[in-house]
Amino acid sequence: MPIPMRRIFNTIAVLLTAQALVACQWIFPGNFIGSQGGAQDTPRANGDLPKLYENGYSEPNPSESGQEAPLPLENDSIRVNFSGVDILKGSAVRERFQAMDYDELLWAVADCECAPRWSHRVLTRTLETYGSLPQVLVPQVREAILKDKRIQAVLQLPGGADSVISKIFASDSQLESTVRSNLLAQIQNAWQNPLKIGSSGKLYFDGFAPLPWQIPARSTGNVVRPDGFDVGSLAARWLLVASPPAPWMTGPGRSRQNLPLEQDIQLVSWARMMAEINYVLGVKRGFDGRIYGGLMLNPRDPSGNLLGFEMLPATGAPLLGLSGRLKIAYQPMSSLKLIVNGKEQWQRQAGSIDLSEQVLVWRAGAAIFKNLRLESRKYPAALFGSGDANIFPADSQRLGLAFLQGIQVLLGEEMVALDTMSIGDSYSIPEQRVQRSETNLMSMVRVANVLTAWSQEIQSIDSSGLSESDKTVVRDALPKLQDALRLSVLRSLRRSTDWQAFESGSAALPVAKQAELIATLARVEQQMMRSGFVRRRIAVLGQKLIDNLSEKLDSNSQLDLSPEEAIWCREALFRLKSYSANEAEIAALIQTIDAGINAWDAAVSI
Amino acid sequence: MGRRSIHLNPFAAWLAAIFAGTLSGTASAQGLLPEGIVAWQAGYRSYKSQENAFDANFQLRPIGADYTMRFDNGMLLSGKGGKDLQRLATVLQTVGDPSETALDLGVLQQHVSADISASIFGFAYGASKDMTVFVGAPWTTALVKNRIEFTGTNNAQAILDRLGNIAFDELRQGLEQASLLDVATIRNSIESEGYGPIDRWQYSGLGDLQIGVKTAFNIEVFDGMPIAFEYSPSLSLPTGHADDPDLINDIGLGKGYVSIGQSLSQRMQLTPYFSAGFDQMYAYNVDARVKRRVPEGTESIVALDRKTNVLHNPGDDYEIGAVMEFGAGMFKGNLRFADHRHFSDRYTGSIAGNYSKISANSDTELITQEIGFSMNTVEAFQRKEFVIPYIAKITASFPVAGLNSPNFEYYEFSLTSFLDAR
Repeated sequence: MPIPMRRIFNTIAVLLTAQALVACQWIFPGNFIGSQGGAQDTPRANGDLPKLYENGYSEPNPSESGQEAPLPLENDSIRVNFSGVDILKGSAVRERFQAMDYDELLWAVADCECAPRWSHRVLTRTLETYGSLPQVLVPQVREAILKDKRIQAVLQLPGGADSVISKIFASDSQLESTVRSNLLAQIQNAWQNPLKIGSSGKLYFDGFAPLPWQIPARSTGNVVRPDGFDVGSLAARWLLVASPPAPWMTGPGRSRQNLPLEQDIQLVSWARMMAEINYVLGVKRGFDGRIYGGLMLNPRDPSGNLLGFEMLPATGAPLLGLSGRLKIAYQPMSSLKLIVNGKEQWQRQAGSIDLSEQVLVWRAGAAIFKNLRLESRKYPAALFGSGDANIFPADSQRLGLAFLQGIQVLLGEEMVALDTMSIGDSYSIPEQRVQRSETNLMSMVRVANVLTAWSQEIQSIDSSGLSESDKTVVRDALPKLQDALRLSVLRSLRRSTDWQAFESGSAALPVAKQAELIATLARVEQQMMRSGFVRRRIAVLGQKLIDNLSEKLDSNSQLDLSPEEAIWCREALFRLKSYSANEAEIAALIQTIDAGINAWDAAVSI
Repeated sequence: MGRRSIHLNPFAAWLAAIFAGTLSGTASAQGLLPEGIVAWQAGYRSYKSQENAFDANFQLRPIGADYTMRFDNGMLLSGKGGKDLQRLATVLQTVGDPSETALDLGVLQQHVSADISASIFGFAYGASKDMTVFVGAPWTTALVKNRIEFTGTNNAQAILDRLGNIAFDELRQGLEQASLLDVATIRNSIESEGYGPIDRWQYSGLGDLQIGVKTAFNIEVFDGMPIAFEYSPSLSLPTGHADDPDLINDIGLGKGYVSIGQSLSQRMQLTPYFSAGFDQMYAYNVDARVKRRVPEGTESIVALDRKTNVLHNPGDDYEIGAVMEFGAGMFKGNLRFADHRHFSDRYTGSIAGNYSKISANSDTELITQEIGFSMNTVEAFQRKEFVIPYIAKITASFPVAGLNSPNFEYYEFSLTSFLDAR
């Protein structure tokens, strides 16, 4: 078959310009909620998953489990000796803290914002980590690549994405490199300030990256992508990204001295997180009219299918939640072919929706909303808007509200039930009924934490930049949230077994949890719901905690606390100052613990 | 507040006893009316104002004491204070702390008095020389007064103040309403459930109608000392006021079911001036369908929508007595000891509920002593020494002990006379 002359010219053009591939309007604004029509490229929840292949990578080796992985942040797990940071190294750390739950530490750090180096390191390592959703399947990346005329020309060559030319000039590594540099350029333009992060080869824009310590081992020399992600871990990372004030709240050039790339990392982390949220919610419609993503679960849908907001039935309010462990599969092919033909398939492992996981999602949602409120966007204005130069939609704060909807649904059903005065540990989607019981004490406390955060956001909703109709909907939700908040506080205090264990100083409730309980409930009491009843109980609990800490002081006035314990104890003691007559003792303890936390954070290598 | 149903129920036995007493003093040796003779009887019984009653431990207590209600945490949790307060107490138990949030809303005290009287009208006819038939109907009147007062300290507002803003809406509203609890609130609460007025109940009307026959015979057990036996089957019809499920303070002046009774008495004339004997009565009570409010738990105020037809399976009755009579000529006195017993009732129905609460304390017993004095002119009339044959009798009855029973102390006067219908 003769080759048309037009194709030849196109091929030459590609040869000349492929290296300068312009990618990616990446996190571009769009009408991300409510647009109509178009084909849907949504994940398929059911059906057999094809064998997992990666672009040129080997199959995952089951023996390379996360447990055998090296601890990438050894300093994280060091117990703090507060007269001087006693850093244990290597195998000693691994042996002692192998079972350490990093999500717990991350939750604590996100709450206190007191460990900037540690946070910076986690965010950096996350950006250096491959995600579950391949870069070229990130909707914004996919769209930008497909829109490029030169790629379109390559695709018109004989063989299209499989052609020799595409393998030479649009190889996986070239695409990856180009995407990276162009995305960074895009962010830099919107930020209106130079990014010092450069086009680091270590940064990946893949969605849903696991936490660094969950990376499989590389002992075989092969890089293994994870085949999915846990919503809880994802939400914990979102929380870490969104907890400190976003760069646009403080303005360019505000990176701390000891963290020179702090704002760059935060900006890129935000961009990556927003892409993930767009995908999860299934609200991003591509230039081709297709909707990418949609990993939400309708708690009332017995099929358990995953879907996005635009796939909801026309009637009824959205009932979506994000939950569980989600696994991805796609056919083995080159990046370019994957962009063109790949249809990722997601499947949620069957099971109930756990409260402990949802707490992370809801708390992250509140933090995201807080940072995206209109009044938070102080510098520079180009970050938000509907133009090509903007990287976030003008109404991007609505993304946070999507998680508020999930709270409302689950509060109104089984999880927080005012009629039975109970807080359940899980929500079962229809036909997957599981035995439900009252959740544990700490999940109750964290429900209080979440609802406090959301209540505070809603109370100042006027300055959020939401539309009047959105504000009305959100305001209407407030009484129910606050009643649930009150129930969670009261029920937390009432849990007799845990209470007794706590009061008796039993090890049933570790120090970190004791302190978190006090810190959270006292914050509710001081910031939201004044109550002598709660105050008196917290004072009693607080004295127990102070006694416990005093007993832990050794002869050199040193405390042996883990970072998580130290963070929560500091917050609890800070709150207890207004409840206790013994302010001097509390202040001394805070000073000691503060010094320890600072020393621990300072010891984190970046 | 509990339902009050004073087990008055005296009339079936009363009729039989009056006629038994009357006829035993007539010209008939066997205590029967001669064939063709009609006896009519009118009587009046006045009960002492009822302010005390025997409880389940045979102790005499004010009637109101049974209905004294301490609105404390335990009582509210049990549901006796109504569903709303039960919910409030349950919520506080679930989320509060007993040391600070245990409800104590005060004490509801009731001072109850019941004035009861009855007039009796009866006729007997000597159908044959061996059988007398009789019919009787009481006319009953009752007035129940209930003075309610609410005392003690209501700590609902204090709990609310302690909780402060942490009290969620339902809890806040519940505590605010509970803090306003007073007599008027309770009265309104009760009446809003479709109950009639609780301060006062007055009734006047027909009691249970009774019809029966009597036969008598002598058996000479000892030489020259025959024992006179009387046997009387009777039927009691539920024409009197029975327990009304929509009234708190009414009194069951009638049984509310058909009762088939039979009595047997024995008398021995030990000397010309003294006789002694025993009597026994047993009544089989027939099941009846009645309306009742079926509580879901232990609540005292039962919702109107819980009213339904239930099957009342009443316990049976028995009475045993010992009597001594003494006197001469027209005048006689008597002394009688008796034990009146009613066995437990049982209720069943189609809706789920706590049926045992309806029949609580329905097992009753009352031991009484009676003293009577009569003037009997029948023999004088037969000897033409008196112009009118009549029997006039006054009786006083005093309770000795009781179980779940009113303290029925009464005074009675009856007059019986005769007509010759031959």
